[in-house]
Amino acid sequence: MLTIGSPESGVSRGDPGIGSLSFSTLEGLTQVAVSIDGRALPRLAESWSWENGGRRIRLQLRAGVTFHDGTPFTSTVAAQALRRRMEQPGNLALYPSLGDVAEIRPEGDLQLVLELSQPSAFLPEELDLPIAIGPGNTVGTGPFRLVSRDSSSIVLERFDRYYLGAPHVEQIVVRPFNTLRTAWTSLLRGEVDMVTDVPSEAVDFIRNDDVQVIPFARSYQFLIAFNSQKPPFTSSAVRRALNVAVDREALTATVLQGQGQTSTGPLWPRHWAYDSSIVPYSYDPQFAVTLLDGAGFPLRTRSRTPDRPPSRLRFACLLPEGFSLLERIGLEIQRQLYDIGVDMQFDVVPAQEFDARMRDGRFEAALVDMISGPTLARPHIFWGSPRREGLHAFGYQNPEATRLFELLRASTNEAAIRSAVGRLQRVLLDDPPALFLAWNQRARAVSSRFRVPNEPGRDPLLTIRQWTENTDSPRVSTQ
Amino acid sequence: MKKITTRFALLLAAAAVLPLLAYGVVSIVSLTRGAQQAVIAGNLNVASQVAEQIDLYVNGSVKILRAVAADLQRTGLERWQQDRILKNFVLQFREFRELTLLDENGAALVTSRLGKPTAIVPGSEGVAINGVLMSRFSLDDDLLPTADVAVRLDERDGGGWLVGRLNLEELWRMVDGIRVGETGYALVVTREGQLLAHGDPAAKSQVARGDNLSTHPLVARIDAVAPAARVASAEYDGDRGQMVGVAAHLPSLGWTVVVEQPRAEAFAIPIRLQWQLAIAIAAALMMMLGVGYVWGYRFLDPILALTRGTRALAEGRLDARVKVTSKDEIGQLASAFNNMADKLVELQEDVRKKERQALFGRVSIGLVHDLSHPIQNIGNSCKLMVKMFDDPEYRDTFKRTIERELAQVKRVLDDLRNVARPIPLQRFPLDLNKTLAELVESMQPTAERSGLRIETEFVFGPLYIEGDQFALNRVYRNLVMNAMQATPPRGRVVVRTRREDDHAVVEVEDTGCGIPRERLATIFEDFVTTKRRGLGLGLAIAKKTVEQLDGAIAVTSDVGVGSTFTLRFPLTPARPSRLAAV
Repeated sequence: MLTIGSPESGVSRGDPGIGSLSFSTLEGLTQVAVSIDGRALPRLAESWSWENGGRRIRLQLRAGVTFHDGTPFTSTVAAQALRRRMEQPGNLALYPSLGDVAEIRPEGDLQLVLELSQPSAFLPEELDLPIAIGPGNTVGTGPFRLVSRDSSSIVLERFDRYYLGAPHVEQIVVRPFNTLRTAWTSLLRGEVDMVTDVPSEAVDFIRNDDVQVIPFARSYQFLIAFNSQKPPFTSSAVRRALNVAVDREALTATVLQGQGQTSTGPLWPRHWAYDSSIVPYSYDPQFAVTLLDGAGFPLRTRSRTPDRPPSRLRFACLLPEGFSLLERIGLEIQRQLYDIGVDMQFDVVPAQEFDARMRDGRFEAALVDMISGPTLARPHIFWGSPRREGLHAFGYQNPEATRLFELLRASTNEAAIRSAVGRLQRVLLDDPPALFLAWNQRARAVSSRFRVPNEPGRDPLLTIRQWTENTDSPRVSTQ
Repeated sequence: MKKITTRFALLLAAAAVLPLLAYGVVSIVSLTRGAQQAVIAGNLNVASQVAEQIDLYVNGSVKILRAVAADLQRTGLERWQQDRILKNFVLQFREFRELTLLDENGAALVTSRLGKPTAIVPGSEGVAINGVLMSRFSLDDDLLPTADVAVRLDERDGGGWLVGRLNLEELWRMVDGIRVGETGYALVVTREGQLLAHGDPAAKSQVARGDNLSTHPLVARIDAVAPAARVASAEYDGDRGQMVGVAAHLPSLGWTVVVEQPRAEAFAIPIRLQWQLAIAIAAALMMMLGVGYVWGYRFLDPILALTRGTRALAEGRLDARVKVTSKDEIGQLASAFNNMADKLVELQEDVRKKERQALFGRVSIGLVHDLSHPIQNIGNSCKLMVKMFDDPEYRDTFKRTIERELAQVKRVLDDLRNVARPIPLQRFPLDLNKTLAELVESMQPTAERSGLRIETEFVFGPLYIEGDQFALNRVYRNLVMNAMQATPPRGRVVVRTRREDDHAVVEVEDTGCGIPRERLATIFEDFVTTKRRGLGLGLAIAKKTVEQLDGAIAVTSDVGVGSTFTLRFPLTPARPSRLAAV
């Protein structure tokens, strides 16, 4: 049995790890979570092909797959499940390409045809949404099946008829913990076998002969998103000035303690079409000052309010409460912006209020830990989609960026995609939608009782099916 | 010989081995203690340095806090400026996770936090360091050890407190970075026994659990010693076996820094040196014993050679010589020994020569005695024969006389020949009683002519032995004749037999003149006789004959009382079948 301790509050905002665990219970037609370069990979669909000028996609489904309740996975069942998913509120925001699907038609037992209203190149990547049946859509085809779920635990059991072979671990129990410390203490006591989140400061402390700490790169990044619909962020010069005013290397080294990679744009740098030859921002506070001066934000010698410093520009940044790492990042960025006369104040609010204000656009800027890869579909839904519903909450509008995003959304030609991505990178550098800071890195701690496949940079939760119990307890390479 | 080698070995042991052994033991003990003390001193030095670094670190942090307080007071800064100062300090000094300015009522005025401030003024459970209050340490949600520190602000500026949340992450790194040997580590314990940092990766869970180590042997011990002592060391059982630990006290904070190392590892060098020294001493001992053996052998060998030579001389091997080439006293002694042996050979040759001359003389005298009488008789008879040739009676007398004297001559010659080359005996079973009875009967007339009577006292029943009847008769006859010749008329000669265990015993006892004691020892030798004349071969031949028959002959005698010759023969186990058939 594998017991996972999941702290409800982590060092950073966002999924503490359980989301990755759902990868083991529910499967999509494709998968992108395990993709390093952003390409959609086969899962329940073995392959797919475009037809009718990109207005139809034909998926060849995997044979011999059954749901946890014994229902055979066929094109009919898959079509029904997919339709249900499309009808669920919010899914169109998360998976906007589904809005392009006009008809879902099973052909035979193992072929599924999706007729599209317009070419939709991101669709294969967004078909990684889980296919589920049964009450509450909890019955999937993954290597583990959900047995129970309540406030005290989530219990998963091995699915012996999994088409790729039954996992070695028989049962997974997820236990929530109020704090990271209590989760860690339980791990060190041997009460749990894994904790999903390791703060960077504690990595050295946690790692020992009994606990392996496994870091992995995430397609999430820390950024300060601007509300481009409100001044002063309607000005691209302001957004660009703030981007060149930040010393990302210092941020990564001091605050993230090396566990991150500097970021200057929303596109996943390991994406197959990413153009690494394009020179990103360099830290240039003087140029930032010039840009701000030019944009009509000269430095004031006196403050309008006695409790605020004199500045050329002042704005409030939303920050979710209780995330120490985000707070430390905020402090550092605040100091760096202060050096060029920008007074960034933080509005620390509870997480629910944070989400509501973001949704309603009641913010000037927000410091977030946000998914931005590995596919192009992710930045597209935040920065490129013309739709205002869902996740496109920042109001960024750049005609050229929108055009290029749309081109990418519609094109399946690799050369065209490479060209468009390069141009998009440049556009987003010239007119950045946010203050991009760093791609982040996570680490998970696993008891040495389990042998975890050594796949550098990959989230170990995604390979949980291949974990084996370490009877002789050797150390596992942890990078 | 054993004694001298034993003494020599003892001398070697007392002079060299024991002192070397004693030296080795003392050296090993001294080395071990010295090295162990050096290890403990080294570890103590590490612990003291760590304590000093922690002290510097904490005091440095306190100084920073005081510096921040100084920046905030009486400088007329705006709130935003104070805010900036606090935030800049927090970013600059990572040991502070938060700095907050509180008013007299504890309300936050300015804070480095983006959210709500959390640091508070420590209560009475804390310690005071240079005017700064410090709370107990605890782990935050990120598992980092933190404590609140507070400095009182000047009343003239309105009072209040500057509170900081001190992060001892650096303390952890410092403790984690300490490795004593391969697996030795350090740990830090507060005055209350709270484990703050542990350098053993496997034991970090104790920190996370907030274990209390007030019962740790060293923590308890250092609490017991005078504060001035500041250090302690001990050996104790730990989770990893026998441990060597040292502790250094940190007076300003009341903390204890413990450095622990497995005993086997800590004292690996002393143990190795101990072994090396033991091996070196053992090698030296072996070399010394080897040299001692060679040297002792060279010293003792001439003495042993002299001993062997002496023994050889004592055993009659006069050709034995001692080969000693040295020029020292032993060499001179050996040379003298060899000269002595040469002299002994010469003396022995002289003695032999004189003995041969004496023997020759005795034999000559005996022969003259034994042969002169018959020859003279034969000569006289021949002269009478010339005159009385015609007398037939005399011719008969002449014939008897010549035959008797020639027989006498023949006996003498037979005896001589028998001495030179004994006649092989023919063994047959025979009854001693019967043989003796016949012999006594044949000699009774002769005895009676001498006025004697031969008495017999035979044991009842036959006494069978394996013997040569002719040779035995000669022995008996010789003994009885000797007895008769030694016994005066009316004396008594007794021939006696008896059975003793599995032997037959014959005694010939007389009441004669006896044999002087000094001659008893040689009476059975050749050419030795108690009689004034004769070759003296009778008893020698008798002894040879008896011994050829696996018997023994002995004599007891008192001068003037008489003599007893005792013969002892092994009995045959049963009557021979050949005789049984008779």
